[in-house]
Amino acid sequence: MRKAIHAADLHVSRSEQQYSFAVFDELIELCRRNEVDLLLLAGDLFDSYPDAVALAPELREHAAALPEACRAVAIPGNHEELLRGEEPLETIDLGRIAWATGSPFQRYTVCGIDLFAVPFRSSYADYLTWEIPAAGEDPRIVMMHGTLAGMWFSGLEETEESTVAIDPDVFGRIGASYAALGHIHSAHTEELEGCTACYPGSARVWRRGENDLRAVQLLEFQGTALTRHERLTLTSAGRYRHLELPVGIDPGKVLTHVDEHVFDSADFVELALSGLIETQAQSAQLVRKLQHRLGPRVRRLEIDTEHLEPLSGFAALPLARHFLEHWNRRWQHAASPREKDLLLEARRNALTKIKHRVEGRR
Amino acid sequence: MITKLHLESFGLYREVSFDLGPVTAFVGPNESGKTTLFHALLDCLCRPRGASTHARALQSRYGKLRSCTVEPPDWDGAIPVEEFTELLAIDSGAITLNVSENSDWMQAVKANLFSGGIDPSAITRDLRREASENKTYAHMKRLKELQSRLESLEQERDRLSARRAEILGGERRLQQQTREHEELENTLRKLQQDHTRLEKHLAAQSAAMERRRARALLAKIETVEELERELELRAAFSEDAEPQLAALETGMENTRSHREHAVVAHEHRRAERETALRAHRSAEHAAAAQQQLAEAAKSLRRNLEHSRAAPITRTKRRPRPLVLAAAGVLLATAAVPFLVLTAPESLVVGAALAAGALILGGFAGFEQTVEHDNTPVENALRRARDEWQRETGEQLSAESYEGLISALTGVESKAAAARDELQRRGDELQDQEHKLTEARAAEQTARRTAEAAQQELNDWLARYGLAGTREYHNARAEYRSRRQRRDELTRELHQAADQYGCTGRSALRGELARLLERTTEAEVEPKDNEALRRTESRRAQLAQEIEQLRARRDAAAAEIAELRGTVKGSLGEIPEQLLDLETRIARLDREIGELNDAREAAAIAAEIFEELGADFDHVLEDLARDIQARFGAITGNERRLSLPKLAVDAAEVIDAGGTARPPAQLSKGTLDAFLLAARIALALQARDGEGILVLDEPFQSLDTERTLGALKLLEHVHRENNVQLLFFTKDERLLDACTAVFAELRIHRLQLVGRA
Ligand SMILES: [Mn+2]
Repeated sequence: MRKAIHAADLHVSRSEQQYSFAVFDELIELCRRNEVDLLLLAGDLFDSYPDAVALAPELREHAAALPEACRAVAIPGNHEELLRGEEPLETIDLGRIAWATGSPFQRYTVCGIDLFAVPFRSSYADYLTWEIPAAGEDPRIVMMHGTLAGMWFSGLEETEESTVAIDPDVFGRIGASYAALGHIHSAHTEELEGCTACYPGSARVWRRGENDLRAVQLLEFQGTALTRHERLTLTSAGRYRHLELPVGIDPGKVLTHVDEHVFDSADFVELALSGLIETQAQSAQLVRKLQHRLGPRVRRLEIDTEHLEPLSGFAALPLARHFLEHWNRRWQHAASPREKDLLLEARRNALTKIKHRVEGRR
Repeated sequence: MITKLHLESFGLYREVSFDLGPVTAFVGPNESGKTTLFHALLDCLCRPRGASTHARALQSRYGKLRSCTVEPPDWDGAIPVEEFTELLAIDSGAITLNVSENSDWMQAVKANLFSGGIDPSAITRDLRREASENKTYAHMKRLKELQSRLESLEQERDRLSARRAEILGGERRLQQQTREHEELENTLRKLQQDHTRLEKHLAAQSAAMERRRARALLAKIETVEELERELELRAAFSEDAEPQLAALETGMENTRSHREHAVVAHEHRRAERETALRAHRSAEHAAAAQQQLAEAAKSLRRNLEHSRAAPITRTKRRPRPLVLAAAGVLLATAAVPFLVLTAPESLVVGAALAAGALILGGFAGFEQTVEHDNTPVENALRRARDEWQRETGEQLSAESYEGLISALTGVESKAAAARDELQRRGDELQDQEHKLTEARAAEQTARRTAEAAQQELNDWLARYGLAGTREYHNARAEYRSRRQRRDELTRELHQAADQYGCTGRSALRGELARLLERTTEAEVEPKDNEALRRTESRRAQLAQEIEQLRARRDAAAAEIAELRGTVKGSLGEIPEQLLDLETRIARLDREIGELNDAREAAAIAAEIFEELGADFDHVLEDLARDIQARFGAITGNERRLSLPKLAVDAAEVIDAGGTARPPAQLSKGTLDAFLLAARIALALQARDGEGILVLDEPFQSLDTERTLGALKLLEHVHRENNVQLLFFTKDERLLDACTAVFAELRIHRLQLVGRA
């Protein structure tokens, strides 16, 4: 039996260096604990080309902790291309990690696994012309970075970023039984005809919306077949937590509301404040208090005040007060997230209307 | 509570301050500056801004540089101008409910009362509109447009997906075709190999056949020559001698048949002679017997006659059979030496034996008896009869002598007849003997003739060296068959010579020899024609199959080329296009979702606002009761107010006579009392905490009693609800009434402006 771990989108960066390497170390530890033969890094190991250049030495040191028997192969993703200009990728030395830069793919044979590592390119449209050697006995894995097209939609956020479409047909042509994919930050596995295509999701929380626990994929091969693949959670990556904070007559209440939540120090927390507040100054003060109170407890805190609008006299406005009383009753009984979303939207709409009416009268 | 109003520069006032108490009355005649003070108060408390009606009115009347303040400064600008003018300030003597926005004054009351001037039903209407699915609304138009765009994008995506599937299918077909093509090529190659091998095989076969034929032809030449030699040797048989032979044979047959007839006739004659001989012998016997009988009869008769005359004696000889037999045997024994022709001594013995035998036979062979008839005639007759019976075994019927004599005489005549018969038989025998001699002669002649014919045939055959006619026939047949065979072979060789393009046997032989010399012996075993034909038909079939396969392979190759073009040309771009379409679809989906969510959220918000409206209705019912109570307090309960619900049409005032009137038909005093009650009630509802009421000549239409009722009501409100009261009046009587009602009343007496 041979084992491999498939990880993607670590986005190691100088701006979050400590966090990046904490996650990377946990990944190495997972390789060690599971006695893995092969580590696959499916692109966006670094957040940008300058990050890659600056952090490669440190990464080499961390990668040195990989178990003796474990081979590691990384392909460049679109982020390694960021700010690269004409600089070469090939010269970046990742030590224990083999840096696959061959075009259109680089082939590795590791412990009886036939690996096709495809570095990121601005288009894979020419895949029909790739010369693919006839399959042998070994199971084949293809590693690519981009978005699977024409099967399921990975989410707007993923596609707004510069992306490249991958036709799953390429897996069939290579004859891969597993496609180790990167770029889509949410986990997704698709059982294709003869091939399991998998995005393990980003190994760390990189931007808002990355809700689930971060994980990598553990693969087991027996003979020529992929016999098992399962997710291994990376606890050091923390989570992304989005908290809706409707601000009422007493803005201070949101502080106690925040206190009720338990956060991990690796979490990326986003607070969405919404509603009406007497003055802009009061809003700023509230944000400061929240930052003071929550900031030190989490890895990253962002407070969204886009929907928190100032309206002087708001607190004394009977209509607003009555509305919020009624709304609160509904909010407390709301069960589903969708119901809550709709209630929040209803609240924003109603308060905006009240605000406009009030301002129109003045 | 506002403690001070300071007019730095306002109208004609310069640097004037008024201290204000919980209840303050400004008293002065017309033109004493009461309205100016009222406006200064409005300016301070509401600070109307910009282009609002009140701001413009103040500016045109008092100028931009007007300046006034209140203390404490919290009150500065603390009251919305509408709230002040339409609710808190009861001015100009004629109390109204100033319905500025809405014809439905009660809606305005609601707005004023609960929403800081905002009409919740208006917001509900807006929200309902946003939540509506009515297609005339912009958001629904937008939704419809987005949905149709989404549909067309989805169609495009599906089309593209289908195109991709089609291309991939084509690709798979291409691979299959390529594989089939390769298989076809292989099959074709194999078939061609088979074909070539078969052709070679066939060539070898035909060469072998050729050689075999050549060898056969050479053998035939040999045979022909052998045959010719043989035919030459048997040239005698070349002529047809069959008729000759047939004539000889016929002749021979005829003589033979003639001879056979002669033999048969001879035999016949011999038989006839034998018959005659037998008849003669039998006649001889009969004659002898009859002679004997006749002798006996004669003797009897003589005896009888003698008896009659003398006795009769008679000697009789009888053969002794045993002795005769012994003599026979002895004679036979004596004959042996003669037959065997042994030594002469033996012949002597034989002769002696024969002599012995003859003596024995002669002397001892016969017994001789002599009988004596010495009886009388009757005895003689009886004896004669007995004797006759004894002698002949017959009985003589005649009893009588004469009869007996006649009978005996008859016997004697019979003997004579038998002698005659014997004579006749002897003649006949003689005749037969003669005829037999003739027949024997004829037979001998025929035999000689037949033998001559046979001899002639034999002589003829001997000339051919044959033993019999059959051999001639055989030899002749053999000759003919050989000649026929030679002719056949000669014809065949002639044809072969023609085929090989040469004339004559020797030329053909030379040609064949050269052919055999020229070709080598094939490895294959020459097969028979049938096998060769089968091989050839198999080869032809293969050739045909190859032709068909070639056509199919070419078609497959053409299709592959075409497919390859299609696949290479278009598949590569599709994923990007698909992803782009999916992104656009997702954006539209999101926008549609947001629109739908917004609509749903608007519906929820509208629902909440409707709930609020219902709440407000309850509050308004309370308010109606409040107004009614306050109206009662002012009017001393002479009139009742009916407000089943708080709507302008529903309000009715019922007088002492029980007549109900709507507000429009009320007397000025009653209407003012109602409005004052309503204003106070609304003002109390509208403001939480500290309140203020500004009353500018509020009771002009009220009589003294109602004025007092109203003041008492105000005093109650002031006390219970912590409402600061400011009166403006020129009426000293009202001042007196106030002094009487309010425990603590601050009074500012105003002079004509500029006279203060
Ligand atoms: Mn990426």
